[in-house]
Amino acid sequence: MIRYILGRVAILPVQVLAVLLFTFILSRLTKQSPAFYMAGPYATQETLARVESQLGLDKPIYVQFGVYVANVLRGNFGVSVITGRSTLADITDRLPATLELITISLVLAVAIGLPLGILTAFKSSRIAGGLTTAYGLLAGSFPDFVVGILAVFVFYTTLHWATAPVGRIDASVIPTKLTGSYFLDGILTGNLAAVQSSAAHLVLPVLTMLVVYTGGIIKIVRTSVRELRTSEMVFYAKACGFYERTRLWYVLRNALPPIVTITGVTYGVLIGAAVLVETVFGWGGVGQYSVQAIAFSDFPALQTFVIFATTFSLVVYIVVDILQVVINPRLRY
Amino acid sequence: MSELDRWTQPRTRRDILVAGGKLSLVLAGGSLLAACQTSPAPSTSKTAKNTLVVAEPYVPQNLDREFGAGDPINQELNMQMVEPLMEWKRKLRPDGAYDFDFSGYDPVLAQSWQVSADGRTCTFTLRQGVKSPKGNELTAEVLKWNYDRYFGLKGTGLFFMQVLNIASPDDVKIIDKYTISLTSSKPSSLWLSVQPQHFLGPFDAVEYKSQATSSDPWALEFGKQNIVGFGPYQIQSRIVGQQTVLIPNPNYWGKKPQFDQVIFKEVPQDAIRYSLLLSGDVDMARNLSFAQLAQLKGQSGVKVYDFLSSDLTEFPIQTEHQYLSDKRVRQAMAWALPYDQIIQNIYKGLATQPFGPLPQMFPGFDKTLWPYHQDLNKAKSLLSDAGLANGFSTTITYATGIPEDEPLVLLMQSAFKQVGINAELNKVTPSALSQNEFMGQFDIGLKHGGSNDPDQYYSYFLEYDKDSVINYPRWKNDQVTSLIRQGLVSQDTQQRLRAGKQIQQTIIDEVPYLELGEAGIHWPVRSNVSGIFQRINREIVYADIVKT
Repeated sequence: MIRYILGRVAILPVQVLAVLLFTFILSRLTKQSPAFYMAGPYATQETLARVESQLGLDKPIYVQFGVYVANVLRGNFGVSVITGRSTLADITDRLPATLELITISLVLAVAIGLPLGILTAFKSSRIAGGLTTAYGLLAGSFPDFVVGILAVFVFYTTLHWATAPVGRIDASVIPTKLTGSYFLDGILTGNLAAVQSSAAHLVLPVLTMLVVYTGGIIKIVRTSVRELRTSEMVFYAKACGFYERTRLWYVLRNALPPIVTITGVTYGVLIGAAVLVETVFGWGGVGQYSVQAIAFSDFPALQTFVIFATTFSLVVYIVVDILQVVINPRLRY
Repeated sequence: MSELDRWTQPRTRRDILVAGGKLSLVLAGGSLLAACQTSPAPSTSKTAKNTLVVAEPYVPQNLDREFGAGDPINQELNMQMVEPLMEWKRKLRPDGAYDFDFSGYDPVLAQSWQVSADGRTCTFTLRQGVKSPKGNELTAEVLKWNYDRYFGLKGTGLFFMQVLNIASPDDVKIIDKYTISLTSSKPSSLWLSVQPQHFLGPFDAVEYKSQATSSDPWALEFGKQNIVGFGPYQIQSRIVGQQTVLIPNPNYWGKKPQFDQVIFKEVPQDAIRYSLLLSGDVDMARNLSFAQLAQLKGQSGVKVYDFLSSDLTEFPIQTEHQYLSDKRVRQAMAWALPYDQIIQNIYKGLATQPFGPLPQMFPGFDKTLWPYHQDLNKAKSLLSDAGLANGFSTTITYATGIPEDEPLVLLMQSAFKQVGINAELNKVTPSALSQNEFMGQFDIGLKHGGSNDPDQYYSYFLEYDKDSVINYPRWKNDQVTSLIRQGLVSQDTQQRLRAGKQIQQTIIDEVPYLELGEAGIHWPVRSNVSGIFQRINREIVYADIVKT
């Protein structure tokens, strides 16, 4: 097991490097140069050439990549074209906002999706199944930013139930920074105003994520539990005279692996999904940062985002694999 | 049957179907209601009277203006902290906003100014007692350091030095503590008209020098995260990607602004900015679409201030390309376009049709020179004369970001098709568009913006001088270039007006740009907000604003 974990961790840098190389080549294939933004609108050809030289953009792409990887290994991820700061500092400043949003969304998605999936699996009615399928289809076909804008329109503009959908906390509330999650920091420091304000700001973006991403969890849970309910294992247990409660336990225990997988995959997906949801709600996380990076050809910012997003997803997948081994005794490495 | 019995009775399939049907009806009805009606806007703003909240599509993260001059919101933020030496006069409108009065200037940081008879020297006497939030005084030495910085950094400031023909830092001389003189290598007619641009407003040199290092002698790194000038506000706090908060400069020389806090909120989606304004959670919202502006016009609790501006929607035509180098082809395109339809359908009647290379508000503008309206037969005839009776193919490159651009290019594509021009659409990011245009890698591009100086020769110099870096069409007309350069140094007003007309005439005839819209500036605000005066760079200073 430990050897397996070490093996997975060991190939993580290779996977990140491969993704980085891919991103690096793709961004250069666009033939866009951040030098145009940096040099300003009145730049002469000489100024542009000077800025390109400073950025190393006048060198062959393989040299640029080599220099970039060497810098990253030394902890220098480059300077953002937009902010003029280290991209590492930009990302670490903004990451807590994104992690707060996607973690709370995931916890609630599982808390809602798991019981609903189990419930609909045990209900033999077509209505429950139809509703689940319809919801799964709808949720899967609606882009998250559309759901976000609709949520704002209904709950903020029309019904006036939600707080202003902008940012993570009211301007008048000053939270103490511990973890970077205003909600969690508010709880840890007993700052009730911060807890209330951050919770109010979380409602619509989290609701948006839930509407779109809970559907997948419900569907997987429902399918897994239904298959197991009609499996030979459960019939055999019934034939042996096991109580229904025991049989239910067997079903849920065996349904866990796909549920853990979909939960992990959803968490990995959410960091990418947050890109547009953050933009709708002005969340100020790494997703919003990456959107700006694309618009302004901010390659260093984009690459650092890709490194973090890739590493985050890969680490989540490793954790999922480890959990699979823990919960499924048939798997041994 | 009691209520308890109703809940304890076993449910039949019919009950579930009926309940499901009712639920669906309620949900569908609710959604429909929500979609069809917007609650009336609250009549008052929810923000405090001493606070102004502005919803922006983004909040600048790099505050440096030397290399960030192309970013309008960077300019807007800088203008709250940095004041120019002088400004254009303003005239009050009935609605409480102000329009330009280009007949003269109001002093700001300069108390007086004098241009020498030969047009080569300009002397400024600075207002005394002007202090930055750090308590440092504005002196000629401070102003001189700012000019030295323009030369040192070789950014936007250097562009202005070139415009004014100031060759080196030695041409900027301190006369006494509050007097400074600038000397150019040849006469300039732009000495005063460029000054209201906030690019030339001074920073607090003492503060910047204290932040300089041997590797960064002009404190560029400090300037990326700070703006310390002599304007009415200073930065209190910034949360990256979320907001920037300004508070008054306690040492400000002028009238104390009404707002103890100006909060710039980053709200990337225009639909959300619209909702926030309508609900009264923000006082002003920037960059709404024309459709949203038109909708707001009918709402209570909000109003939209409309201003003429120098902002032109122009499509540069690459004159070095096959077919497009023939002016008859470019003229055919100009005759093919449905100008009225564009203004009414795309800009919802809130923009005006441009009539040449100059915005209508600029002195020297002459509407009578413009011949174009939609005439498809004339367009076909011109194409036929150019040997393209069967049409040709081209590409329109435009950027994401401005909601009107997409329908605008679709309308152009459709109009061109009627005369046999097959235009493919190439949608790119804003930075890619800038790069393509700078490199000349486009057939037909798209450019928004305009001159920050109402002197017509400044506009011509930027876009039509054959050596200008932003002459995107690469249109080279020696006669026009010669007239532009003469106008830049001439002190003869009548001669400048006559030659200006000739330049306009030639440009209109040659069509290096398709001029499609004069968008104007439209500020949607809560109805208790007034006092807006848009500056010459199309931005506003929040210290002007009054909230009742």
